[in-house]
Amino acid sequence: VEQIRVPWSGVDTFIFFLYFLIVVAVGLRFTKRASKGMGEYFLSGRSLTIPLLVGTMMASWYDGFSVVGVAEWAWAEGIAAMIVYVIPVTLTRIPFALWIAPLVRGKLPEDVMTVPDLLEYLYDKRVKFLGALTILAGVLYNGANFLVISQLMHLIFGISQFTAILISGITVGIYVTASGLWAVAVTDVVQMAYMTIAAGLAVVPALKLAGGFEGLYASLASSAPHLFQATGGLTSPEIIAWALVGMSIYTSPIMYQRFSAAESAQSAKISFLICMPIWLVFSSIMVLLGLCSRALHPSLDPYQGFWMVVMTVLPVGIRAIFAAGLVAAVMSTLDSDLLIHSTAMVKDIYAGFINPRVSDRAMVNLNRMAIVTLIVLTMISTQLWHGGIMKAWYYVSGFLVAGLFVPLVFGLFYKKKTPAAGLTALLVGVVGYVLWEFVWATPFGLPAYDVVWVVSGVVYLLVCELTYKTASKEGARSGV
Amino acid sequence: VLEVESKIKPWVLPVVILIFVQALIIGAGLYYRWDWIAVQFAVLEIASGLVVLVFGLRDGIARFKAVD
Repeated sequence: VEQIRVPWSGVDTFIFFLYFLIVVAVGLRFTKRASKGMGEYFLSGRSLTIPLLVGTMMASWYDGFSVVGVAEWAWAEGIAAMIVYVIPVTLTRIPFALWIAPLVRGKLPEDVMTVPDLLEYLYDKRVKFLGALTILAGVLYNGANFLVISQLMHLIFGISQFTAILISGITVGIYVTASGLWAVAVTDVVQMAYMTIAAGLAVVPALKLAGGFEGLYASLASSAPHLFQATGGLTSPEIIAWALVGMSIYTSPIMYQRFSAAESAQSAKISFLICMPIWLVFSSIMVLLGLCSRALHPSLDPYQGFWMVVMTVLPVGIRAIFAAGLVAAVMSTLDSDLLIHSTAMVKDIYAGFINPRVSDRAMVNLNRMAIVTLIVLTMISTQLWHGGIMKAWYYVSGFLVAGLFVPLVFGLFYKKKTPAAGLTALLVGVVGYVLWEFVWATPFGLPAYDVVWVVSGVVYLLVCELTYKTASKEGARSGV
Repeated sequence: VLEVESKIKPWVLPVVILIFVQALIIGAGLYYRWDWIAVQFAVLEIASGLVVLVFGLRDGIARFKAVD
């Protein structure tokens, strides 16, 4: 891999670090409020207003894939990234905003804070246990995010992957662990605004640099004609699979947390609806930047070309804010995930099933050990994704959708749900995904994304039919 | 729980942004030909980023004061 450095000045470095100092200062300012209890820490007292919700939902969506990954997608597949991925994914999220957001905020009790909590609320402790194990797959995706950050820091400062991760992790870790969701919400608003504005500032000069649409077409159409085909050379089952990737948001623990933190059910719904066109346009800009980077830097790796274009067209200072905003947004997502995953390991799995009599003091120590273990696992998993973050997103989100989509979404709405159905569907989903995608290597050319969650849904409904009467006699819940 | 109410009617902002965007699209369309799509993207992202920043900070600062 060619070692290159992107355009960067001393002023950028100063602004980059100043940004982190401000973020930490804001976080520490909220420490007093966050110490009032878990509801205040984790759900910010359920009082987030629409602008703060939009900011925090947007920022938690920004990660390695939504920024660099989409551009890499466009670099490899062209305008299909828009037609096959960006637009369908946006459409599949509409029901999430219209029905699930208000349901989560309006009807679920306050002690249901995490996805495993929700699975226990809908079914029982066994489903919670299996759900907690399933969401640990997110560690692999976090590895891809670590990789994106370290690649960026290397391109800017020439520092090693390990140092890059350590610096950003410690900085963001301080404010998240000290002050909870209120600090995250306020700093997220700033991160969202900077990243969105920077993307807006980058797109026109980048396109101009590439000679406009005509210039793009002239330089790419002859060497890679598939870039301008609607499907980018993908097969129909692959197109369906990518279109369904949007379903992953239905299994996103962070989004459920944001909904719960809204000041009202209506605010949760409206905020998510406002986010959708902004996401759509942001992703479209990333697609254009991906195409521009291929036209302007065809010999570089996709991520190198992307950062080279972004850093070239953005003015001094703004590019520092864009880089810092991305690093902070990714690290904030990683921190939230670390807390969710360590809680799943220690509270849900170890204390819930292996050693229920564990003391509080031992739990705190175990939690620390779990976080360190998870960080090490995440760093190791970076090695899986050198082929590009799009693969990480595709496989990990596919696994989560296969395992959790049916138990969560059907469980929220289906009145005849039973714990047996939740458990069976989750098992069929996770085992079926691994078998279909990796062991059997996608039989008939059908990706697991197209098949497994459908099978899991059918199994769920069948088991509900078979066990509903027994379960209702035992006192199962009949609706949210 | 702190209630933060907007002083601007909800419909004012989208309408202003829409008019602004349309004016820019027409202007840019005349100037850049069909590259106006990129200009439209830019305006929408910058406008939405600014709106969320201003209103989000307003609510955040109100929360700061409530903490004190």
